[in-house]
Amino acid sequence: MDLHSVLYRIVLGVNYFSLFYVITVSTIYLIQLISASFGLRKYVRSLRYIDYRRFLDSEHMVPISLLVPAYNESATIVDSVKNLLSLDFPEYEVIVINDGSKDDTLQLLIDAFSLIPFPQPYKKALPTEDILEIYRSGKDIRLIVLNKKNGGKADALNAGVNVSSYPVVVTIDADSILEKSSLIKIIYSFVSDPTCIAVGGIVRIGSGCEIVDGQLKEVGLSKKPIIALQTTEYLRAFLTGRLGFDVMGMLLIISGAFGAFQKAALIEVGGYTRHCVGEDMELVIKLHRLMHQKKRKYSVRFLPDPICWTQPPERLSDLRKQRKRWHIGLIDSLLKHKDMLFRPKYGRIGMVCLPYYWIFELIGPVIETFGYVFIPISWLLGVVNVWFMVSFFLVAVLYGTILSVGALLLEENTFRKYPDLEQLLRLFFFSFIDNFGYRQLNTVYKVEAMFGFQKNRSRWGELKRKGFSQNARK
Amino acid sequence: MILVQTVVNWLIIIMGAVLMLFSLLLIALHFSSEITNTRIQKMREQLICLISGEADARRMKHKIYDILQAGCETASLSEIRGIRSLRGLQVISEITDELDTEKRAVLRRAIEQEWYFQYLQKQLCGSNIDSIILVVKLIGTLQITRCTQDVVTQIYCHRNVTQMQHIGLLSLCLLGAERELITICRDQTIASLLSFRTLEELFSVYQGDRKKLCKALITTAADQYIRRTCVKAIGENGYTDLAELVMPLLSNNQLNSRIDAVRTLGRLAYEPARTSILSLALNERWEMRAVVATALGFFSGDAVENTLLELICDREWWVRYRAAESLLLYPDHEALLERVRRKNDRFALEMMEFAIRKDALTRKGAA
Repeated sequence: MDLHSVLYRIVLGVNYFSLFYVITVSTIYLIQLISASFGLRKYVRSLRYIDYRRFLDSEHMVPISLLVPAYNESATIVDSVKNLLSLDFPEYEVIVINDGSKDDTLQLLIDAFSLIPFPQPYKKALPTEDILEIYRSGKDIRLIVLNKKNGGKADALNAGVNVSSYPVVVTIDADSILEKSSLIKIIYSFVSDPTCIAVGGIVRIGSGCEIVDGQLKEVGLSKKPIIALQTTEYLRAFLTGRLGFDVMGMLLIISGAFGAFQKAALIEVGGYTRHCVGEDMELVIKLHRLMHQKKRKYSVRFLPDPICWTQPPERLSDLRKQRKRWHIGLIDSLLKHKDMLFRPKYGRIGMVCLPYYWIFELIGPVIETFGYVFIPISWLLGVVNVWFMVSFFLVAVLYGTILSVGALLLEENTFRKYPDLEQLLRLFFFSFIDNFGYRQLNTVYKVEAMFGFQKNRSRWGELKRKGFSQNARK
Repeated sequence: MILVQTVVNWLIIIMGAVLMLFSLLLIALHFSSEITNTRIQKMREQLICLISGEADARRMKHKIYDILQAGCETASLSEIRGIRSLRGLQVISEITDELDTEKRAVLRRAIEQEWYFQYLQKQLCGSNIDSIILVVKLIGTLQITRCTQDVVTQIYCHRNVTQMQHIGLLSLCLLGAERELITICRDQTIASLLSFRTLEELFSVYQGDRKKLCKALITTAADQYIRRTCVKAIGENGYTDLAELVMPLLSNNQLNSRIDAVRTLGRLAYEPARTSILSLALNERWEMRAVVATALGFFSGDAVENTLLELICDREWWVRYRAAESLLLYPDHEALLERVRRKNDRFALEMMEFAIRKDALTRKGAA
């Protein structure tokens, strides 16, 4: 066998491997879609007879602390806090943690809510940067504002946990708003299931929605393609990915934008890991680890119904920053917990879930990028025929589209948040378009993140925000 | 290579077909649920209802409301097509939650008519757990007392299904079925799958004599959570004459039971328990000391005040906080602050000052 023949076989093998990889990863996503549809069906059925609304006026509902970390959030903070103070829930407090903002976030809060300095002794259960001042609202005693030295999101959340008074904490991003019933829906899990330690709600894109005075008036879809693409992407990620993992009992991520945690468990794992950009995933893995080590019965859940509307990046440069940060967070968390891999002690988390994340979420983007580049080159060199190359792209695009349309189908069959035909058709259109450029772009960002991991592992980056009212649909 | 290509080709064809199917389904689903215009809806009602569950449910809901509006004694559901179905049950269940007492009575009469009642009985004998749970819920919310025994049977048949246990007990509570509730709660073969808060909520909607129920279950319920629920209900409802039943729990071997007992006896300001509660202020568990601090707020006297002043200097934040809250109930805050100051404990002083400020802010807010 000559060198040419050997090289030919190697190149051909690599091509087949790329095709096999794309088919495998897509099949896994398809399995997630199927299990998500069963999970959603079961959830919607349970809503028929479990009436969480009975707990709205009940004193038997768990009281909660809402934690809102804020760094340079002057564009959205007032609307966001107004929204949080108007939710349907019997007993809660809102703790805004101003993490050394350089803009007028704190001053805006002081003016809007008549904040007064209100020193409060608190138990420093988790180490954090110093809290400089504590304020309470003269208008609404439920609002507490902490002004602390900058220490990052995780540090801010830990400070909030220290000051919080209630047994369940809910974390919410300052650029997000909740639907009135979101809290009761998410917290009901803690009431109905005594083993529940963490619950995540669904995050949807709020740009394009009409939000007046911190209240969601009408659901809408942004006209900007970059936002519409993220809308379909979020739908797919939450309604198939998260829900699919939840059904299989392997949920590893609870979005930092909207998640609820049992405070005792959170403190027991040492709170959020400071100087870590993927603090949300890191926390959930730590919870899984602890519960398995202590052999306690527990559940970590995702609910598709409690909704948090968030603001996505509106510029490509911001999207790049965000996606790189997410991927760096993923790499960081996976590396920190690599000792859990293939350890039966950690159950399906160690045996299935973490290996999946390593192979398909971490290394996957590299293999995918490699395939996009290598297969056309192979075709040019005559190693594979044109139909092989077309097949590779067709499989990738068709699978991607099936997943997006499948997620849309689940949405249409259950929650129907986008009732207009025009909205539906646009989402449908973007489900296709998603596969021609946007998806590949995200893959490139992830590869970029891998190469810049060491340099950027604790760097957050700042995204440009607009106020909710500026985003309102005219 | 040919084999791989063939497989991939087939895969592409299948995926293409799936995508087409998904797309068609999506459009059909959207159109079927989107039509709200009354005229069009009337014209296409039958067709729409054939393909859209949501439209069908809306139709049934309107019909039921029409019947209830008429309010006649002989209102019948038999004229509503498809009402004897899972969807029909679901619609009735939703409507029941929205009705006032008078309309609910009309709906009950309609449901108790032979035509629909037979269907309910058939569902209870069936195997669809969703239907059974909905029927059990209906029995409770509509107070169909003659089906009480059916609810009990279903709880026993599906003893491992949490939702059935929840809805079954809810129905029995709504029916005020004391005897049945006591029997089930005492049964060692039925493990409670419900959380403490869920049980508390169930007890709070009990339509019978809650005091009698608590008395019957506080010592005999098979599940510890149920016994604790009774203890809490005694405190919350002020059943002072049942306090002596709580007293033995102060020396129970379960910490949570002891904590509930202290909380309840404190809330009732039950004098015979004062000494025991005071002695628990030295307990090694901070959770107990915190509850003792709250309970002592309901008593008065020098010993109580001195103990609270000791507890405000506790090493645990929560104990200090609870002690400060209880001390706030004393009228002269300035004198109190002075006494705390004399303790030379910075943390105690900070906590007392915080509690006073918070109290003032709350009062201002309330005003």
